[in-house]
Amino acid sequence: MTAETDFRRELIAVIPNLRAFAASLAGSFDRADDLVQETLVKAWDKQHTFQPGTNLKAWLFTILRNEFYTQMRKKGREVQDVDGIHAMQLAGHPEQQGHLDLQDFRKALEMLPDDQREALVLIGASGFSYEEAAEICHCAVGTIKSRVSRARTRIGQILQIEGDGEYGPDSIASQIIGVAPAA
Amino acid sequence: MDTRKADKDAASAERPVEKKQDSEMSFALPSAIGDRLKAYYNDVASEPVPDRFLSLLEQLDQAEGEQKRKSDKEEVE
Repeated sequence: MTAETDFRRELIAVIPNLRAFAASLAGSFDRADDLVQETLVKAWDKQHTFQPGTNLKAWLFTILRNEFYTQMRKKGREVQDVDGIHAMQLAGHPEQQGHLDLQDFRKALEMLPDDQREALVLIGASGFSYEEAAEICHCAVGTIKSRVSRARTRIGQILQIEGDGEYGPDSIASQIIGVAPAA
Repeated sequence: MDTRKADKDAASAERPVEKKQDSEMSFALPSAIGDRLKAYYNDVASEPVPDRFLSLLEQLDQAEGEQKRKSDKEEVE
């Protein structure tokens, strides 16, 4: 019982991060919380497969992401909101009224392909290393690097942030994706 | 021996540089993007954990406890 209670406490500690990641994937807060709920149930059922001492946060993110894409495949594109609705629902979050800057950012993020957005969020906001993000997304470290690089270039373009050169692929990512750095 | 040592030194000197490049890359998001990305994320991540999740986990924890007691009992019988 004590072991389970400890596991519960650790799960609770990761929930805020899971919700934020889920919202970035799903686009609506209701759907994000449904995803988190399914993740918690799944995690609980297979807690014996979690190796204590390894990264619980990365383990939970992996479950949540798998759940999201499984649902997407099952239900098809209807699951993913049509662009405008998606952005509108997020913009409608009560905390966000008046935060125009953040709303613009949401919309820009929304315009990115799913794989680029999730890479950007995992690295830039969730605090994962490239290696951890690669594991969560079941892809190579270089793939994550190039996705982050393309994502930030694209966001920079959408938001028309000045000093374009700064946002191009850096030298390492450029070698990977075979594109000359901007500027 | 000396060359080997020098090679080893060079290798160990290189490694931190590689690491540094990696961590620099993760912070290489221009602040105009990185700050907004964090604000976007923390808007949700800073909210308190909703009750629905706390009670869900409590239920799961209790169900597990009951199941265990039940199976322990069955084993004894």
